[in-house]
Amino acid sequence: MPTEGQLPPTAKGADRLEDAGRGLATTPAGEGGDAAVLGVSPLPDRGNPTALIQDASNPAEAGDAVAVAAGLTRLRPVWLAAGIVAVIAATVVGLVVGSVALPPVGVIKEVLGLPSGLSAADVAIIHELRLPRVVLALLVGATLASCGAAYQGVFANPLADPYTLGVAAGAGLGATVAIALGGPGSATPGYVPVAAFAGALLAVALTYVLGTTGGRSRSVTALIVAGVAVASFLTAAQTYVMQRNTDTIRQVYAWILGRLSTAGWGEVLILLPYFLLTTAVLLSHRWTLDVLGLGDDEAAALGINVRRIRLLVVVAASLGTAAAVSVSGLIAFVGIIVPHTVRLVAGSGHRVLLPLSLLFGGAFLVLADLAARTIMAPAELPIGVITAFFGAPFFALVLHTSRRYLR
Amino acid sequence: MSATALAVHDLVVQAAGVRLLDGLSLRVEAGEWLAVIGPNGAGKSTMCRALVGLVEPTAGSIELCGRQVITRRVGRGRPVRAAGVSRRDRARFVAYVPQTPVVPAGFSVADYVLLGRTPYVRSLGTDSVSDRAAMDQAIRRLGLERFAGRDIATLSGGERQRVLLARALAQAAPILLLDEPTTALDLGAQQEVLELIDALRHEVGLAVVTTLHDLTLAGQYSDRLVLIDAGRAVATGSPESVLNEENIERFYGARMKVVYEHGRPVVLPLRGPVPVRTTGAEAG
Repeated sequence: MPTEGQLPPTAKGADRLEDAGRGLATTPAGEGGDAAVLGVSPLPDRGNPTALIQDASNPAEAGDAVAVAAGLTRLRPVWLAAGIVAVIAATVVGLVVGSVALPPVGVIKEVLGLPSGLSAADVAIIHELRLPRVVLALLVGATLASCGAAYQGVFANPLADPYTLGVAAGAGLGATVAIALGGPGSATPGYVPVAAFAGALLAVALTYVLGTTGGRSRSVTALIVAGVAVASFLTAAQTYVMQRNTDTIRQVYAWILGRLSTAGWGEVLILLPYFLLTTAVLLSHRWTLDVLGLGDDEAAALGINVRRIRLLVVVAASLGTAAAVSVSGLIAFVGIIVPHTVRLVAGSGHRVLLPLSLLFGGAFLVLADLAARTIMAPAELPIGVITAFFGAPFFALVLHTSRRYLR
Repeated sequence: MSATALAVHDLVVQAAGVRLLDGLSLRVEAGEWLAVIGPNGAGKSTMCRALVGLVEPTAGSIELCGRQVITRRVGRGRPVRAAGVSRRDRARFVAYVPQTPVVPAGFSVADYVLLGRTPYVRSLGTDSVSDRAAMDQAIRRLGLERFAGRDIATLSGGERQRVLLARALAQAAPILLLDEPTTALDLGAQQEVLELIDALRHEVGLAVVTTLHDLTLAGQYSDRLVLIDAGRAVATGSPESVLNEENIERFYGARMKVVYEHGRPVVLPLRGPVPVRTTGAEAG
């Protein structure tokens, strides 16, 4: 059975490579003889090579076996469990707390489909109002956090997120145009999410084209600079549209600041397929994203098609982000604070980062939404205010404490 | 019994109208150490980049372990990547350690060495038991057990270079390509790293190709030297035959004295009027 460490048998050099692999696994006693064949005459003062070889009979060997494997950054069960507990706890709190306080045990029973003893009105509150809102917050938070982590990985830039790349600005312009065209009124036109989505994809495409033209050796910096330029341009265009249509300015602001207040199962169903697709693509690139951290050249020398992987991950993350933004408005900082917190406490590898960002991102946004609807109850704060209020100081803290980490 | 690990024929690399490599040919046997020397801008780094596929040659061929990876096209046009040899396959042949490697933030030594297994990791998958075993072996071989859990950014230059070697070793490629492995290391660390490379190639039968600025180190450690100037090999052979005062004066424009220690050349700088170089490197 060919092992992964070996070349296809058709390779003429396969025997040499197997030799290399074998030499790695066990040091053949006869290898030293090859030196003479090759005509190398070791100098006395160049040291005895065998003295550098680790003694296999070292008594410390057994202890070291544990030590080396323990050096790997792995998704520790305790963190996975913590993430799942956070999601469940946030969900329960999100369902229980509100203008009508509900009994936690009854809520849990109701959600699990058990006889709960709740009144028909309470059941309706759970199923029609709070559950879709909590589920949407979970999906949006998970999407924004994992896409933020993916952007940071794929651009090897800790500051990359939907904002840096112009995705959010594009979505903002799309929504503003849609609302302005819809004219003043209390109801937000149904095609706003579609327009936001189109704007987001347009922005990504613009950023990508702008950041990747001008030679084969394009840099990560060029892409970020392009993203900033695209974002500025689209934001200017959005401001212009807003000023020309002052009658709808309040609606636009409400959308920009983000809201989950109008969430129903319809929004959940819009987002769900994109969430699943994006998550599948990102998780399947957990190894490759780590390799991209070595820089384009080294990743390519290790056999990675850097260009294709980067395009694929950026498109997937942008699709997810645009879908999330189009149903929830612009919710800042989730894509930055959640992945950075995970990195600081649980480790940097994407096998750790992506799953934990999904879980903690979801839990974080449920709680942020809870704060948004309870702090000034019965009025609601835009959720973007909550995430920015906690996000900005946290971000400053990250910048201050981990200079090494941000390089 | 030695097989040819690497054969390069008439390699030309052109960028923006400048010929960085201009018909370079060289050959390395399995278990052999070839040091590539030459003045700044001679094309040493370009050669490394062409060998691992970071730049596409405009002409010539590259053969790795008897397998054509870049084939000369008959007639007109650029040489083509040989069918059936993917980027991944190539990474199984050549392990590359660049001059200034990117050290990713928050990676432990074990994480970093494991990335050397990338050419064997299934597409969309992650590391297997055998990958972790290879990582473990490589770390032990370079005596890095104590550092396995350390953040790579906290290591000293010499320790970091050993970690890079461990990553290259985990890649299990028969050719080890190092671009200036001693740059930015102190004298002790330089010797330690070169001794390790020497031990590894004897043990595992690796073909080693290093570019080296330090001519004495190149003369002391390598089996053969190739002196590159203006993108082509101008002298190839044993250290004694390549490292003579005339070659150094002509291609480096340097006044040096070559003495012999243990039968190998040692190059010493001398004060005095600097000779004029008589090569194309300055013009290019």
